[in-house]
Amino acid sequence: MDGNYYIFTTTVYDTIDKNKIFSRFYDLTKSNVTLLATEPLTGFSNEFSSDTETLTYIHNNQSSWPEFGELVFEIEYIPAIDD
Amino acid sequence: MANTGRIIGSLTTAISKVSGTAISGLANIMGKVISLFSNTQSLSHGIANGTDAVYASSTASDFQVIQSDAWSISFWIKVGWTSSLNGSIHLIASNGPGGVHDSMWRVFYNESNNRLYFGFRSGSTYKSNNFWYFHHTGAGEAGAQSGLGTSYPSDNWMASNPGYVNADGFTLITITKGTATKATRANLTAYWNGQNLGDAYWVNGCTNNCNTPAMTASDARNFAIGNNSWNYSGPQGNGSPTLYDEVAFWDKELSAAEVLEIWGGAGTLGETTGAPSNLQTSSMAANLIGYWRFETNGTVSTVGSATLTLDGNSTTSTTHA
Repeated sequence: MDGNYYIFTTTVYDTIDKNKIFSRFYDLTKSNVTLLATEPLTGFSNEFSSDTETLTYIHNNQSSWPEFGELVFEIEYIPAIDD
Repeated sequence: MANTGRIIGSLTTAISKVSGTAISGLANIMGKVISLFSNTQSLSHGIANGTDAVYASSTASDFQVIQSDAWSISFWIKVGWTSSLNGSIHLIASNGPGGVHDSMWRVFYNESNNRLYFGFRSGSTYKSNNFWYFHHTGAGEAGAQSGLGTSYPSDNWMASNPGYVNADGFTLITITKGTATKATRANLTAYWNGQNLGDAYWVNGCTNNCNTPAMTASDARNFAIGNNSWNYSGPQGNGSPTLYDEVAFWDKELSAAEVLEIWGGAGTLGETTGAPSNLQTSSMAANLIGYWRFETNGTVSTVGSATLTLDGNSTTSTTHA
């Protein structure tokens, strides 16, 4: 799972098998999703090798993303309570 | 000793002097500390990431809890954030000098998933945490106990939807931990005002890379309110400043009755009569190891030795719990 950090458009994200997503967070307009996947995925807008790299990208694009903070990708996505 | 309501027929509230000395000048009577309690101020935490941090660094010998210790944290909070926070805000956090993974524990609210978290760790794969999600439906579960409601995400915890609060608009949050070394459901209890928030989500704590932590008892500890304790960065609110008051750290797993004593109200669901009282004269006073009151613009811990630094726009406020 380490290294499978991505940004997807929400349109593409909605087609992904949710069982492959460990953690996910939307941007401010809910038009993009950053996620940590349990296996490599395709169809992404951006790909990152670490949480630090992902969060640095998001930090530098603050107009469209909130500040998530360190360790955010430890927060599990649980479809039963998050959808 | 029971509370005294009258002295020789006079209301105690009408007595201002004892033997010619103003009561406010007396430290004790017959060896008993006099409690003259008032609460007039709170901490107003600014919303700028990092620059508005509130923290005490490297408190030499206090607060050195480890995974097998029982401890509790209680604090009054008036939230200022909005639904646009969309991240996680640290409410209370502590860690050792080695950084984020060094003997770290924290209470944080994950706004995007509407979860209140508690966790502790000694490494990236030696951690244990659990959470309560506020849209949890059912009697006795977090949605009903908090008064926030169960529509997700419209009922998420935020300034415009604060849930059950006291007459001053504050909520008392208390997290208690037993002596088990993981954040299991049986080992943790969360309270909203005087009410148990129901079951934590995970039966045995988190499941991914969650080996039993091995925290270091001898490490000095940082302590933070309203932001993380290791680098003070990350979301610290949005909208209006969030207010914190009467932050208390205990070296025991508080009972439901003791949490109700902190709340100070009737203890029925949704009632607003809770108000801070002097925890130094509470029935749990011997277990109080940290106590930040923010009175007279103070940043000192009334108990313990962790004096806070308030950066940027963080300050004391006369709006109080």
